[in-house]
Amino acid sequence: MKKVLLYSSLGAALLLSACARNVTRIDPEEQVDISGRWNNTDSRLVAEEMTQTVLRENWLEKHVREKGEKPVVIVGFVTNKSHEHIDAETFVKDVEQSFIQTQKVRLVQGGKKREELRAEKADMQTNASASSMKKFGLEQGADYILQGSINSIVDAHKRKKVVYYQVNLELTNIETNEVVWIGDKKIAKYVKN
Amino acid sequence: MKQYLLVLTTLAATLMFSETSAQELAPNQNPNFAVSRDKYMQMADSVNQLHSTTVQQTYKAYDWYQNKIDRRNERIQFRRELKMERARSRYYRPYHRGGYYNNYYYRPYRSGWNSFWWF
Repeated sequence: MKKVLLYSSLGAALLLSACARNVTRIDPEEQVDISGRWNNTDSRLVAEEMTQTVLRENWLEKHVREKGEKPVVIVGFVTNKSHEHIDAETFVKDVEQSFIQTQKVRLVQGGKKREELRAEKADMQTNASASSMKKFGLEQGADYILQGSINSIVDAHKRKKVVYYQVNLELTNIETNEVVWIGDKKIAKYVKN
Repeated sequence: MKQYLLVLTTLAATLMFSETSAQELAPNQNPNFAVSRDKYMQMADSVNQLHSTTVQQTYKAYDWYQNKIDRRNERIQFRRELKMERARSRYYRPYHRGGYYNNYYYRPYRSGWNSFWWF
């Protein structure tokens, strides 16, 4: 009787352990491809390429030489024209971070966050003390806008598929509309189901 | 007299405005810049809300394998719905086989594989 109980409990434990979900932490730098879709490795590759090139190109040196100060950049929008849902913020944030870490480029806030800042400033006009209240009309204007696009080409037949992604980031002078830098990263994947 | 004063003030204001506008022009700046400026001042807020975001304009790519899986899922779903619909129609048809007040449900018991001859 004891043996039966022991075996049945062991069997139950084995079954339960087999059904349990198993989650392990992995290094974000590690390449894990599961479905063949856009993933964190692709985003990282794009971020690496863009951060390496944007600060090395001569637009930066030219701006400093001509204006005598560091350029100010605002991030515009990235258009995803690929076949998958891709959020560009994962790699654009890395580019922004490189601007701040290297202290070569100044960055100003845009979009919803800027709206929030203005709303906070508006709130200060009636609620903050006079000495700590921040004034309107003293925001830093941007010299350049960072915009981008994501495109893809899919070639699939039966169980084989080649997916090609092209990510472009562009830096444009806001006053003159002159494009001063274009960064690109091309990723091609062969997927066999 | 009043009218004369009004015309004079308007003229002076126009002259002053045009002078300041002329003074504000940067070297080589298009003198009609205000047309474009006024147009874009109207839409700046709505456009700038998209800053730092990703605009999704995705398309559906042809994928033979994915289409196959989708077709299979659709087939399974269709069969499931058909089965459910059949089951529902069997139990919820009050006027089927003569309605509530017939003796269909009180028919005599019959056994055997061919007992459903009255269907």
